[in-house]
Amino acid sequence: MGLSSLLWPISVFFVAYFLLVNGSYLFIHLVSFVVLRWNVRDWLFKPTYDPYRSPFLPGIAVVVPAYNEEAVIVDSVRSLLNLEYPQVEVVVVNDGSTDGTLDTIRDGFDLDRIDAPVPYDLPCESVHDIYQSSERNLVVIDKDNGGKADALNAGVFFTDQPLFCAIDADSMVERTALLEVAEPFLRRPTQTVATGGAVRVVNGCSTSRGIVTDVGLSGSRLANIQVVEYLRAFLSGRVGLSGLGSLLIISGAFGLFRTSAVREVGGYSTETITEDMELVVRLHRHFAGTDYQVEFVPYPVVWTEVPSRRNVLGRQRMRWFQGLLETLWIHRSMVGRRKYGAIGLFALPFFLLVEAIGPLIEGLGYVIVPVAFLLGVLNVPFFLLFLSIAIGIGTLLSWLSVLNEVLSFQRYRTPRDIALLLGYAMLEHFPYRQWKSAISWLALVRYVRGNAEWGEMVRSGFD
Amino acid sequence: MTAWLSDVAIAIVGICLLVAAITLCIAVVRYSIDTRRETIRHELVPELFARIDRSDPDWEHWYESHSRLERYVIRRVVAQYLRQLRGREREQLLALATAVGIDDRAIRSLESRRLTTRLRGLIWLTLLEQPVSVDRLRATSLGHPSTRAAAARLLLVCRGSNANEEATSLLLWQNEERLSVFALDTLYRLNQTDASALTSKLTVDGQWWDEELLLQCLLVLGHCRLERRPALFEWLGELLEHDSPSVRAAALSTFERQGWQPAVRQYVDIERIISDPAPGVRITCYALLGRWGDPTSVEWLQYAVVTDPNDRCRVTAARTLIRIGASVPVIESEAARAADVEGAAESAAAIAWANTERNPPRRGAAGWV
Repeated sequence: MGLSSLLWPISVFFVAYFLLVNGSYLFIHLVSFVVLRWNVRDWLFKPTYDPYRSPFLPGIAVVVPAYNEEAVIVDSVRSLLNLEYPQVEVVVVNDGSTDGTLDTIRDGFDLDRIDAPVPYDLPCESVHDIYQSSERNLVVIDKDNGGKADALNAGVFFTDQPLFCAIDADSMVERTALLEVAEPFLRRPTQTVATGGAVRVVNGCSTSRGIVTDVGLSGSRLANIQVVEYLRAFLSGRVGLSGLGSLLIISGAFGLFRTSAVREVGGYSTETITEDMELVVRLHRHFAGTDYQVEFVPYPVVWTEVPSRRNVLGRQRMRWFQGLLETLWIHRSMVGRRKYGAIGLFALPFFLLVEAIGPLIEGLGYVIVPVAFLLGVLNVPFFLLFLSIAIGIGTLLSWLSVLNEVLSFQRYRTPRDIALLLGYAMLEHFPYRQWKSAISWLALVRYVRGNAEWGEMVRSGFD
Repeated sequence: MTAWLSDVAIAIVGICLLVAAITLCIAVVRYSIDTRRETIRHELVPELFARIDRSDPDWEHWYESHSRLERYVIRRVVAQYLRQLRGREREQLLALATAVGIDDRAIRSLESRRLTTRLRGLIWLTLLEQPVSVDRLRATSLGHPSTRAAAARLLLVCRGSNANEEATSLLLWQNEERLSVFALDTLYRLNQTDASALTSKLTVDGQWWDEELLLQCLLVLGHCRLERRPALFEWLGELLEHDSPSVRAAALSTFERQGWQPAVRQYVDIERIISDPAPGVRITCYALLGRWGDPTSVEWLQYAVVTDPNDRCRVTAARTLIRIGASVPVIESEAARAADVEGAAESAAAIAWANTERNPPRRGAAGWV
């Protein structure tokens, strides 16, 4: 059997896979368009009532895991305490910080140590002390280092509030975000187990006292490419997946959960490196067959700083990809099972075939095509057309997300910013995609070897 | 094959260019309109408020003297301030709305086939507090839950005869349909001081409703003043045996506010509820006992501190006792442990914690488990 006879089935496979991937993405984008239009209709009611005055809003514990956050913790907590929500309890978990995080927050809010052991079992590393403010709804749990999931578990199992919101210490939550992300819990009080809001990129934005005052793009090309990625992921991907009842990820930077549901499934897993995705999949698994709901709400926003250096971004993406593989492996028995409804039949196969295998196959293509060219078996006109279609559809998906932004939320308002976003969507194709593909392969290797380091996120801080 | 692919490629490039062109056009148009609106707004708001103070503002002439975009900004400003202002300033804004025909246009828009236009009309009428007959509202709003909710809000703000019954009926039109947050808020405002419209529907139809809708209505009822009707409390008492712990807790929280009437307390079998398998229901029960605060309730709370099998429930019971200034059982944990008294050490820990807490967490809305 000659090389050219092998090439035909390989080409058919690539084309079929290409159709599957892009067909799925286009379908999800179209659903997101419809869902976003429905959401916009709800805004019409805003002038006639004040949701803040609703007496039915359940209490929320905002759980903030903090590891060496001395520089930002006081501002961050102050901004959380000022969120527009009638009943917020902020639970900061000092996860064995080696800097002055604990002292800073203790002095900043005049906290008192509670002179009694916690009367509940907290499934986390050893807790040293609990500090409480006598004036504000603020509690600080000081414990040994155990990682983010362990710190979250301390807060989740400590609080008495019916809902909890997991937030990163260095993120900026918009003032009305809790009100909006809690709405599905009022619409479906027993069914809703988790909701998530959108995460946006703060790089390039002007901020003041924990509030984004002016939205703009950064001077860093890498950060701006991530702006397009985040728009695609949140305004199109998650809106569409949520509309299809297939939401698998609620970002660790901003998610609201029913406390009892998360306790029921045992809290966050400390064995995985992307505990946010694993928790949501576990919730789906646990509540399968019951009338439950996990929903994405696109208008509440948390702003986060994205890496503007390639090595830092590489570590972050490697971790995300390893976490995806790990979660899919842990819950592999759910894939394709009718018992799990849309999650088993659509979401998990989509994440497996498209999100996990996609970058790997793309990486394979980057090796096979030059080799085929060197061997003289590449049909160059066919390849060039295929490549242009691939780039065209990739660009179309990104541009549809930018269109979604323009039609709905308009956080990026100036035509210049919009034009730049359209341009950055083009820049993504080379060499960013190829680099991400290589990162995915590296992550696969690390995952197979069992190497699961968190990776340090170097932040330059807000303006 | 290659020819077909090139056609596909050309089509995709064409679609991409179209999407980019639409995106940029919309961005440019919206940005330029928004910028102009902001500028106009800055100029018009002081002018509008200066005119409000005049005895004869001549709204019609003033409104007609502006461009189309300026009139749009005026309408937006009126919509915003109608919600915020009261008294003479509000009356002047209403006069402006009438003089320029906003109310007529809103009433006409009720006949529109477009849902969004009908909704906008209802929202304007609500802001203007312009009454519309119930028959007309039913004819134009029954088709969609959002228009029904908007129509109910209009009835609420206009407060006509039978407004509570008619509006509550519109909100609860479908037994299977859960309420939006806006509808829930409207249902609460309608029934806040007199919940007879809601309780009548609940006691007649409640048993057939979707469980989520039932729960939403119970959450509302927990914040309303209820009439002293034995049939109502009997019905609520039966819900304390419902299969869903959320419904049981929500039903219990409706008794929390009515407990000042000793006659109401007979419908709550505390002995049975205190042994409910769901900790959330027991926690709600302890809040209820704390609210009632009579010697019997205090005794039940003291009993719960030492007997409840759940750590969190014990702490809640202890916290409630401390909050209402009642005495907390004294348990010497070391002695109890030595005597092998079951749960004594845990109860002692719960009491110690509740005693030491500086700022016990406040509960949010009642009825959530």
